[in-house]
Parts: sequence; C-alpha cells; structure tokens
Amino acid sequence: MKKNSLLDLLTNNRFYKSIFRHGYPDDDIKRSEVVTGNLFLHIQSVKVHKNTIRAGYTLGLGLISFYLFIILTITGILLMFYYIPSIERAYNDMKDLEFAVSFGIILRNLHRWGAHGMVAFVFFHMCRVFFTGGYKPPREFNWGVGVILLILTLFLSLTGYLLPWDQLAFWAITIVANLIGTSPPEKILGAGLREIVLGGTIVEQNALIRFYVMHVVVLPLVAAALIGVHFWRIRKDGGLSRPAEE
Amino acid sequence: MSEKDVKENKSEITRRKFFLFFGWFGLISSLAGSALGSVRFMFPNVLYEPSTKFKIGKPADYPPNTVTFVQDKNLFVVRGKDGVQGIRIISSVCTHMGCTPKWVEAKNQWECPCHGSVFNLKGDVIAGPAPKPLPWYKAVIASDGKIIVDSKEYVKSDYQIKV
Repeated sequence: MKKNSLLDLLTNNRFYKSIFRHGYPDDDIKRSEVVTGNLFLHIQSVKVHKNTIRAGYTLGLGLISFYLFIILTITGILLMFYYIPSIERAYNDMKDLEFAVSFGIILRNLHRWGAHGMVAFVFFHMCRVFFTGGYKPPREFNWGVGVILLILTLFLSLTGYLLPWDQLAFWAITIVANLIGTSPPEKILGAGLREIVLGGTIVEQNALIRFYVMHVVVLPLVAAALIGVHFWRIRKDGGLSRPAEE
Repeated sequence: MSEKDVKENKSEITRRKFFLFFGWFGLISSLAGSALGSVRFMFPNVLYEPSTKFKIGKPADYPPNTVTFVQDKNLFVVRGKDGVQGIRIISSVCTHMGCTPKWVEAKNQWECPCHGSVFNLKGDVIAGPAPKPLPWYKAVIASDGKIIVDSKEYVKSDYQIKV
C-alpha cells in the first residue's frame, strides 16, 4: 500500500484500528485475521478447498435461501409499521399498503414473492443436498436441522397467509385448522391442537393475533437461531460439501 | 501535464478497476435508493386522525359578550370581548404543559389550574410558567352558515368573523 494514499489514510489510524485490529490486510496473517476477527465472517474457515468455490456444485441455493430470509426480515419489519393485526383494520391496512403508502406495493410484493421464493429455494437446496449425498455422515445432524428449517419456512408461509384477512386467507386457515383438528386421537389431541392454534373454535380475532405473533416473533427467532446452528455445523462437519479430488 | 503523464493515467484504468468501480457504484446506489425509499415510506400519505379543519356551529350559537368553551375541539369561542365585535377562536390548550385553562369572567382572564399560568384577553401570558401566548385560530363562515375553524393556521388576536 502506498504511503499517504487514500486507503492508507483511511485504514492507518487509531479509529479504524480500534474496529479492525489487524489493519489493512496486505499479508497472509492479516488476511486470516480479517476472517477470525469478525463476528460475521468467523463462521467461515480461513482457507477453503479449491473445489468448494465451484459454483456449479452447490448452485448457491442455501445462500440464496438465506438472502431471501434477510430480505423478508427487512421488508417484514417495514410492513409492520402500517399493518395492524385487527380484524377491523387488517384488510384495509393491506389495501392501503398497496394503493396509498409510498413504495408500499413494492415492499408488499417483495415480501410476498420473497416468501414464495424462499419456499422454492429451500426445497431446491434440499434436493441438491440429497442428490450430492450431502446428508451422509458426518453431516446427518445438519440434514436434520435443515429439515426443521424447511418446516419452519412452511409454517412462516402459512402464518403469513392469514394476515391479509381476505377470503383466501380466511378459508385457507379454516381448512388448515380443520386438518389439525383431525390429528388422532381426534377427541383429545386434535380438538386441543385446533383450539390452541385458533385461540377459540372459529377463525376470529384470537386466531389473527396468534398467527401474527407466530409470524413476526416466534418463528423468525427460532429460524434465525437454527440458521446460525446450520451454518456453524457446515464448518464443523468439514466445510461445504464438494466433489472429491479429481 | 506532459504527454507521458496522460498516457500513464489512461493506462491506470484496468479491466479490474473498471468492474470494481461499477460493482461498488451499483451496490452503493441500490442501497442508497432503498434507504431513501424506506424513509419516504415512513411518511404516510393518508391519515385517519380527526381533520384539523372542522365546523363548530352557527354564529348565533354564541351570544354577544361571552366566552364559550368548546370541549371536544379544545378551543374557546370569544364574541364581543376586548373591544372586538366579531367572533374569534382561541386555543384552550395551555402552552406550558397542555392543561385546559379556565375562563374567569370576573377577572376577564384565563387561569390554568395545573401550574397557575394566566392569560389575558389577547391570549398573552401575564403570569405563570407558560412560555408562549395562546394561539388564535383562523375561522371563516361556510356556505351553510356554520363557522369553519382551521386549527393549523394561527392569526393575530384582532382577527375576527364579523357578525
């Protein structure tokens, strides 16, 4: 790095070095410190096998799913500023987001298509792992975590489906609640599950707020924690699965 | 700048630098665009709160030489006081902490019960902690003969509706 260049000026000072202890990464040790000394990067290994970065092997499907999760989190938080989970206001708030709020239609559609995309890409990711044998030891535990993440993704889709509070949402959740109600033994488990999910016997205000809380707090928190475990286990189980040495 | 310098500067734009520039340019402009859009998103275009313009009945509802408290609109209707014949509208929200000053007919002044601010007939503070005078609202007569108050637009204390 040139002395007194812009880069030197920005990185060779106390403020920059208090954040990034290693200084500008211009040798191998500092380059490794970039990864180990950073909360967001340290989940990666410092060095990876050459075959790991072959994009055609994993197709980046897991990372695409993760990016969609990030997009859904950001757009979801913004939508929460205008959406009120009450049966009097939910549908009107959704229509306001479409027609009255600036950029509301973009955020709503990003959230909607992102959600469809996430279901698709999590599924594609599972197919890829299956066809490349990525579920085999030592990665069988991470396959299990992935299956739970797929189910969480589906639950997130289902709970979000009720929130617009239109006819589609209402009858979809009525059907799902009745499906849950048939869990055997019907009189004990099924009826109990149905009542816990709806907070009553019909799809009403209690059901809406329950689905809302699950959708915006409970399921995203559990999913975020499991995504952390999932990523950490990739590294602990020997890195991204890759083709054998040629 | 010599001819040699120009040549060297031109050769500095390598393929790598070119794509780096457009990569960063694209990333930063898309992030900046999203950030600006999100800020705009936070300003609502439609409000469901009560309108700041509202009707408070006909001039005949307010007899001459009286001060009438209109509780649900937080204002006093002043008619024929302080040498002004017409109808004037003044806020009933104390400029100190937002309590409601009480009209005291005997002293011709408003007295706030919370911290003792006193306002005279012009709305000016004559005692107590209130930092600003009570504002007078602009009001006009609508085509149906009723008074329309605009609580967003302030006027001087001698602004009046002639009756």
